[in-house]
Order: sequence, then structure tokens, then C-alpha cells
Amino acid sequence: MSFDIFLFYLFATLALLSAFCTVTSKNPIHSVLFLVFVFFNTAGLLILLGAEFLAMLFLIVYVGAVAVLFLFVMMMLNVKISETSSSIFRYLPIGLFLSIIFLFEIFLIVEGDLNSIDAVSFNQSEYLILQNEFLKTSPWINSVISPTNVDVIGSVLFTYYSYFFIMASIILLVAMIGAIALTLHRRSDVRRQEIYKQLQRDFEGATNLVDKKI
Amino acid sequence: MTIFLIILNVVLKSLALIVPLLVAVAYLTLLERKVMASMQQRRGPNVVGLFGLLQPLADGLKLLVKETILPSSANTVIFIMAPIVTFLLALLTWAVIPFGDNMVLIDLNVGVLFVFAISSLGVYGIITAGWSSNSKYAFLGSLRSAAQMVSYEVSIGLIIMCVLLCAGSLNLTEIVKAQKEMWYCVPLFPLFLMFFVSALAETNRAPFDLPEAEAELVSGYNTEYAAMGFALFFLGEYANMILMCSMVNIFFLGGWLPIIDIAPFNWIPGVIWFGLKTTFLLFVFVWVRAAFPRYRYDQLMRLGWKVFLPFSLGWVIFISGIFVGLDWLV
Repeated sequence: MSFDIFLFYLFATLALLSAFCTVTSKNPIHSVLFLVFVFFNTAGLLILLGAEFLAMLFLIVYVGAVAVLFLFVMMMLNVKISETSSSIFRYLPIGLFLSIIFLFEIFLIVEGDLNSIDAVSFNQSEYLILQNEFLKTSPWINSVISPTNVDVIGSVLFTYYSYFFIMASIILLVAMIGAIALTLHRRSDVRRQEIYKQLQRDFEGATNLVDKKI
Repeated sequence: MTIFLIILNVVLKSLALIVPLLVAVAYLTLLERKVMASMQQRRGPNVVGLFGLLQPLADGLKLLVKETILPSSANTVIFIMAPIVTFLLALLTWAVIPFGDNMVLIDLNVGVLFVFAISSLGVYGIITAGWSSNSKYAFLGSLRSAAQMVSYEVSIGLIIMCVLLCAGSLNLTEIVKAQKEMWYCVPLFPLFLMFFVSALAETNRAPFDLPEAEAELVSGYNTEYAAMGFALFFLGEYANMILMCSMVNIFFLGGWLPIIDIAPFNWIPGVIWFGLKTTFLLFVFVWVRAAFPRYRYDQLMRLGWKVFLPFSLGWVIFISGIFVGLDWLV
């Protein structure tokens, strides 16, 4: 058994185990921490696949941002430790349903044609042309021109998938504007520090003589 | 047998990185105390050893032999895990830092992202420590710290993006080599300042040390920790400080490159240049701590979100505009 295979089984087992613990653990904080561990192991699997850029993005986005927010909210809400015995059977049917759909989708992907991306980037990207054309006949080209993950993803994403990319960014922008708009209501009775006003104040404006008879 | 040799190799390499790092952390505490002392016209530690040079070792020994206290209402597993996670993450990033030409443990192609990912994980140690201590001071401190680190990570990410645009690579070694002609702190001077201030906030240092504002929160998230738990937090924090300084160094001050590439300067080996620049930045860290009063929390958030974020975003667009317009893209 090679070392790669061993690492694959290690990461996959740990990911599955901690995913199971995420669902079953009673304390919600423990659930979030197990979820973080799932993300970690998935990033490990991505590194084994050679997709180091995706693995790092996974860590930055999911572990560094999303799960931190989860944890933040969980801690602030002071969620009580839930009674699991009854709720398992309540959520079991819908969970089973979703997982069956997911399994079906995975089979679709595995069975389906994965070459569409290659065929597209064949025309679009110089790196992939080099890879596809010459790699079969002469493997040494790989050591001469070795495009990094970032190069390949960038050249595919910004050319063929640019519309999807822009669409995704617009959706994110709308979500962000929505989140900001939710917090925008300004109460009038809150006293705020206005730095410009503070800096504009000088001696002339701040003091004045009052003519007062004593 | 080969497996054994490989493992021995890895262990030796890691030790060769970790042991000097821990010594550096120990002497950074001494540097901080000495520099602060002379800025405040005191002497600082001068009893243990010559000029107090053995003081950090004595401190470490004290923390090692003290009693470890586990609060009875704490969540024990997470309580013990938090300092270990903090310390581990602080050590982990050092694997990709290049100290000189070809002097790097792992030459990752996505080195910058690795550093960014691991430093964004640093929040976990702090936030779990605060929560599991089951104490309001620790909890408030950890919430403050987490919010602060997440906010300043945004501007750090955008500033790093500008540097990446200029260097055209995510590899830290390549970034340093791209500064051969001109250090990035000259053309990107505002970004250099902003990155430095964000680094101060990211490592929870003064004047942004609100997570451990001792006047309000006793000591923040490490209130309940004693002995080695506290020591691990301390080591992690200071290792992160040195790390952020080396990041500033690599991104803006040309890493191991000499000031000018002429005779007397390029005789000095690159490692020494790296050490000198990083030490200078660490000195500025301490200097800032001695010179400035603490920010208020709303001022801190205002600076992060309303000043640094728009400014760094503007710089990203400005730089990419210039690069596209003049066709300079690497």
C-alpha cells in the first residue's frame, strides 16, 4: 500500500467519522468543531488530488470564515444542549431523502462525461493544449512547462466560464447588499462619535462670552 | 530502513526550524521588556544572568513547574485543546517561510495562501479558549479578539492581493525574487503602512490589544489559564508576531535581499539580512506598544472596515488597472 493510498484512507475515514459526530453530538459547539475537522480532512483530500489551490481556498473560505461565523453565532445564542433521542427520528426521513438524491447525483457525475472541460480548454488555454497534445507522446514536457493550479483554474475560469463567474459574483454582491440593508436602520437616540465635527472644533467656536448680570 | 531515514530527516528538519523559533520567541520577550524599559527610563530585567540574558529561560522554567489549574466548570477537552491548537498553528506556518535563497522547508506554490489560511485558523484557538473557560471575562475577550482578527484579515487579504499582482506568483520565494530591482515598500508605500498596522491588529498587539485590555477584562481569553496552557498561548502569540514581521519583510522589504546589490552589502549572507529586517520590524512593534495608547473598540472597527477596507480595495483596482493599461502583467 503506497503512502498516498494510506493518506487517502486516513483523511476519508476521519472526514466520515467527524461528519457522523457533527450530526450526532449533543453540544452544538462540538458539532461546529467536528464540522471544521470535516473541512480539514476534505482539504487534505484535495491536496492529495493535486488541487492545492482549491484546498487552500477551502480552508480560507469555509474554515476561516464560514465556520468561524457559525461558532460565533452558536456561542452568542447560548444554545441549550438539545434532546437528541426524539429529534433523530424526526429528521431521519428528510435526511435519508436528501442523501439518496445526493448519491444519485454522484453516480450521474461518475458515469457522465467529464471530458467537456478538457475539450473546451483545449481551444482556450495554451497550457492545456500543451498538456493534452504533447503529454501523451512525451512526458518530459511536464517538467519543462508545469502550469500551476492557479494558472489552469484562472485560464479556464476567466475565459470559457467568465459568464458564470460574473453571475456568481453578482449573486454574492446582491447577498452582501441585502445583509447590509438589513442592518441599516438608524436609531435617532444613539449618540455617535463624529470625528470630523470633533476635529473642526476650535477655541473660537467652542467658547463664547455671555453677558450676565450677577 | 528508507522509511526510517525519511522520518528521521523530517523530524530533524522540523526540529531545526522549531528550536531556533522557540529561542527567538524567548528572546523576543526579553527584547520587549528591555526596549520598553529603556523607553520608560527603567532598567528592565537585569538580575538573572549577565544583563538579564537568562531571564526568559527562568520565566519558562517558572511556567513549566507551576501547577496546571483546570476550572471545574470548564469544558475540559476544549479547554486543554485550545492552547495546543494555537501553538501548533503558530508553528505550522513557519514551514513555508523562506529565510534565504533556497532556505525553505517546503517551497509551496501556493505559499501565500497557505500562510493566509493558517493565520485565519488562528481564531479558533482563541475563540474556543474563551468559550470553554466558562468565564465572562474570557468569553468577552475571545469574542473581541475573534471579531478583530476576522475584520483585519479582510484588509490583509486585499493588500496581499496587490503584492501578488505585482509579483505575479503565489510562491513566497518568487515574491522575494521579484523585488530584486525595487522593494515593494517604495511603490506600494501606503500598502506597506496599512499591512503593518493590520499586522498589529491581527496579532492583538498594542494599540489594538483590546482582547486583553487588562483594565476591563482582566486578561481576556487567557484569564483562566495557568502554567503551560498560558505558556503555549504566549509562545503562539509571540511566534505569530515574528511571523507577521517576516511576512511584512517578505512582501515589502525584499526578504533576504540586501539593501543595494553592491560589494559591501551583498557579502553579508541573505539570512542575516532577513534576520536584521525582521528584528527591526519587531522593534517597531515594541516601539508602537510603548508609544501609543489603546484604541477604543468602535474606533478599531471603524479603522478596519471604513478606512482600511475601502482603501485597500481601491488599491487593488488601481494596481490592476495600471497593469492592464500598461500591459505589465507577468
